[in-house]
Amino acid sequence: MSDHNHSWDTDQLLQITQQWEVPVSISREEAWNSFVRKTEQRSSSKVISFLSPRRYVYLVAASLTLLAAAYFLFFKVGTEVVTSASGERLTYILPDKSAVIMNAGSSLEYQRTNFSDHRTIFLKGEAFFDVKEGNTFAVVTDFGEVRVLGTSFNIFSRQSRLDIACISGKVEVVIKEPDFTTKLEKGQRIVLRGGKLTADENIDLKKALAWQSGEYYFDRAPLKDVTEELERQFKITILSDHDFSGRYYSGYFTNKDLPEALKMVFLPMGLDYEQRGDMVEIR
Amino acid sequence: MTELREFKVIFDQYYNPIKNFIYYKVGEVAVAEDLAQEVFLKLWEKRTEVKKAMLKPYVYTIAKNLTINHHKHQQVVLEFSKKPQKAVDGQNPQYVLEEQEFGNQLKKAISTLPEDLRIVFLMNRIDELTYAEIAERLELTIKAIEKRMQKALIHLKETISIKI
Repeated sequence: MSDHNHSWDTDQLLQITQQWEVPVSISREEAWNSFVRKTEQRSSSKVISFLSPRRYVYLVAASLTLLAAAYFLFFKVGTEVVTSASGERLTYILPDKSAVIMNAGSSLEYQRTNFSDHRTIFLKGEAFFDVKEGNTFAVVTDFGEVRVLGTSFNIFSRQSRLDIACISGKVEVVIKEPDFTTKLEKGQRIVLRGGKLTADENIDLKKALAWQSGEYYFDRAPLKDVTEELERQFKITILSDHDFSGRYYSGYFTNKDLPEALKMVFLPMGLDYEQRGDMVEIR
Repeated sequence: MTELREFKVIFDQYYNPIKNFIYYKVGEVAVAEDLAQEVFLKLWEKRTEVKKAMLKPYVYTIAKNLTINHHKHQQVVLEFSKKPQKAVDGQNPQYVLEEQEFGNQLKKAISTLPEDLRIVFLMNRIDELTYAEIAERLELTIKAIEKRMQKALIHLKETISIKI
């Protein structure tokens, strides 16, 4: 140090080091999100495989006369079922490396055998698909199906509603009732409810995918859809004598805080409610 | 998953001190952050087996085990940034410069501390943990922590006075 020689004592040493912190490249919240994704990817217990080694051995041991039946069985047992419980999101990588993010209370099914050649997924619930390029990739639901070559899209199929949003690329939508086929481009959405189709252009992609970070946006959505989403996200039951039909909600909630979410939904709707554990009663 | 929500409380409480603890050992921010996530993944897998009372030392044991295979590069000087401070008016610029210079010397000196002294010293100064807290986490006696603190201070003061 210069001619101005300042001597440093222990107190100053302690004081200066106390003002320090360790540099960061990601925040604690980002680290948490990354941690959650990793637990989801590693939770192999969520995946129910019907092709257990024992069954496979059993197949090999089957006699020739049973071969035809065993051959059929083989295709049946090659079925992979993936489910996400209430209040849980699940990221799942398909054999072709396409990614699926499943919202709470959803399930999908596919044939593992030759999956890359026949990319067909049966879906109940809501999921986001990021499809790797390859053969036609089809997502089949009770109401219709979506076919793509390589793109990403969000699909919601529960009870009486089918909701498909194209996030990138192009997708083809085939609906059973009414018999209808259309193509969606980036930012387009189609909703089927009670046999009626509505289409949107230039949707907010961020909002359409916000559920992946636990945020739920609604724009003139039937109140029933909103309460059902609350039930799935918080594993609660909402009891009500009210008739929600004809009531619409525009707003937002996050799945982080139940009391706050209830307030965000029911207060603007002018509804009184009481929460008792897992039960919420609308008065 | 309510379980995950409960786990978040533990994560929030231990993420920073654990990540820092690993940083004091390996000296690289990105590595420390990666390994810290691994620590919590291990803990998550064992969540049903770990007793609450043993949680603190257990988290540090996982971290120690995970860093064993990761040798600290020689000559790495640990970097630290300054916590956001209220601006102090009228500080003597000469003093600010000297403090900066002293800080740089100090960082170099800290990096030459033997690892066991360095970890205790930094857990106390940066994570602001008491001797009792550090003792519990590292499964040592408070007396041992006091000794390491003293040794660390002596080492630092000697190293810096030689350089000046």
